[in-house]
Amino acid sequence: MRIERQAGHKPDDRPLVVVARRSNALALVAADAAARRAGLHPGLAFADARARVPHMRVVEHDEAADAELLEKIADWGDRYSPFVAAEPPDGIVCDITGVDHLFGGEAGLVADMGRRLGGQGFAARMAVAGTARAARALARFSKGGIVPAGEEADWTGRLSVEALEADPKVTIALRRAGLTRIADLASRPRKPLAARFGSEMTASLAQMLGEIDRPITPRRPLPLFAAEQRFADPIGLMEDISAALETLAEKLCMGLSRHGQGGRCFELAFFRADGRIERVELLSGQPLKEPKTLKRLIEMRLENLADPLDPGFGFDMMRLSALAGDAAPETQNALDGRAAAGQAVDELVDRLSARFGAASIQRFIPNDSHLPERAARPVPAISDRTGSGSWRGSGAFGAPTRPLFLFYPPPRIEVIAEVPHSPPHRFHWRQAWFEVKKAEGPERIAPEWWRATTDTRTRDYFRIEDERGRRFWVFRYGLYGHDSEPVEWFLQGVFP
Amino acid sequence: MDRARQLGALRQALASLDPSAETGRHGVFTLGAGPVDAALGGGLARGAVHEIFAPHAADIAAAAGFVTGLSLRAAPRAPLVWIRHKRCEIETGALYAHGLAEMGLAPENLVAVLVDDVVDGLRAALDALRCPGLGGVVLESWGASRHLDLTASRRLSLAAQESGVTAFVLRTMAEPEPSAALTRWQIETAASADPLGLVGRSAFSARVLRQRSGKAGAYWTLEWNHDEKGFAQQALPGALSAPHFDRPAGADREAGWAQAG
Repeated sequence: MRIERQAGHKPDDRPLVVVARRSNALALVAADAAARRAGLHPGLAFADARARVPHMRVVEHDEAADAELLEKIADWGDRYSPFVAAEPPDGIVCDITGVDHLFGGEAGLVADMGRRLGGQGFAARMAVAGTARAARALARFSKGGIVPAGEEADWTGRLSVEALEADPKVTIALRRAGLTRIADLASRPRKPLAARFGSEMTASLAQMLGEIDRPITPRRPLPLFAAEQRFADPIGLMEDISAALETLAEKLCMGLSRHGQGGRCFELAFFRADGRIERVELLSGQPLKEPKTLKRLIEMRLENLADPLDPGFGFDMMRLSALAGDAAPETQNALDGRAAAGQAVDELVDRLSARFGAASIQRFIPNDSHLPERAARPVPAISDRTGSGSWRGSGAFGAPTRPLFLFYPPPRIEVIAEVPHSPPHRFHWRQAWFEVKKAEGPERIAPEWWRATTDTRTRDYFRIEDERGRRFWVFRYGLYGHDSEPVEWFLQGVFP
Repeated sequence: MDRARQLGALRQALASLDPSAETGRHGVFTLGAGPVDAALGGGLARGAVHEIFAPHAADIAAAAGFVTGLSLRAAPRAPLVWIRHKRCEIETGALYAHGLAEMGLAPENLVAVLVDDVVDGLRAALDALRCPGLGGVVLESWGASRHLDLTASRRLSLAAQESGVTAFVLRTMAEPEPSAALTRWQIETAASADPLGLVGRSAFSARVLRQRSGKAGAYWTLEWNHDEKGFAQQALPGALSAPHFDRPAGADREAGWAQAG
């Protein structure tokens, strides 16, 4: 399928086979319908196949591309259920518990899936069963179908033992023992089977018979709450999207507030009619549960996407989900309105973060460190990280000891100074010489040897002022006569 | 007399037509230095736009310090939103919270916004100015921009009047243009005056380029008093004030090692 799509030229009706190297010889791993009609089946040696059908088309197997396509299909499966996983080599598995009624029952869901996959040019076989394993076996080794509850054993019993997908040696051993169908195994006591063929085989047998189930590992984080809307006709206009967004935001916020929750991380997924999915994430600093605010933030986010939303032939479904949340108590404004003012600022931070990206809106946290660049760190304003240190009080002796602007990494400067300990006399930075008139220091900051770092030299900081009154914070990196590398000077910051 | 009264009436009529002259609504804040405040007619208006120009790249730290001081005078405990052009970060370094903390601004109250261009900066500033919980908004830009014109500053001014949040437009390497700002300042670095010849308090040479309700051209050398969180006029050079009692005697260039870490 992937190959036909890639080709992009007019369809070629010669039989198509995919080959790969298997135990030192080329063998067929896949064949299209025309090739199957000509008697070419996966597993056949390539030399035999070529002898039978000389004019076939041959393509080499590309496992990475197949896996990628499977991931995309699994992504697409997200429209049916949040529990979707890829089932290598060629399947996906969805947990449709509790979602099938949205499509008019299991039969409706299967029909819808088949129609959509067919529309995209995939030939698909589907099975619905009580366990993922049974469904997999039925889809891969029979025509598929919908197993009524509790009848897994009857349905899978008719399959051959290959459906267990056990190690080939085990399969051969089973056949030699005269056990050709699953039903032959199902009726036997399990302990002797496990002793002879391994406990893995009996485990997958139990799964296939619907006795035990293995959980599906979802590919994406499961949302706390989700609201979705399907459209009979794909939509593409911004007004339509915006109207749908309003409904979704209301639905989602209703769910959130019913549980006293507010969302802090949202995802809006657009399912395009042609199978592509566009996802937009939104983070918020405070738990959000107000539909209007949520809608406005999402719209801002959409306006400022790096590559704008491409509706193509239109979206046929939209889903808004809250991935993470926090308890959001009902707000009660203090009498002086201070709570309201604080909330207004929080909302401003959320708006700005949605518009310019969370990383561009910063606040500062103090860290317990003497190294200036570590002592104050910018973090996204909407994150809830807290620092470990405290802020400096007013400057010592009335003068500031820390600059207003900090260079990190600091630019290197050329300095003329007396060795070993004097402050600079002049220094050269950005194509200009600065004459130092006043200097104060040094303030020695030792490296933090307890941290694994390459920054292992002592810094001696000086506050200096040049003849025009510009004040700088420079440091000498290293001590004279102390280590082998030459001593360097850097400009760390600028004082007001 | 008649003439004067007529002129007065005309002035009043004009003032009522000009929305930006509506200064009294949100009150004024003083700088803390008596003669300066007197020359400014009592102080600077809150809920208005004030422009601060740094003529050279080297003056940017002084201008930024001056703006920090003004914002602290305007609203000492309210949150401050500082919007910076990313270019500023490259040219002058990043805002350093410990330095701001030393000036008296609690870093918890600061939100820094980094924007790619002036248009984004204006959008962010307008959005922030409409948020009444803030104490001030700083819009810092680098270089000339056709977007920072009269219309833009009128918008800022209207938003500021509406909410009472004071806007500080901090510009480096740019020529003053017509704008709706109430005052326009030019800030350059000034040598610090320290009785012992050490690096002293932050000092600014401040010139009023324009003042809507008064005379322009006044010039002062100011310094920031970290303890009182206010501006003060710098003592004239040579006028030796009493040395700080808490400064170790004999502290000078060859001062002993200050060891840390």
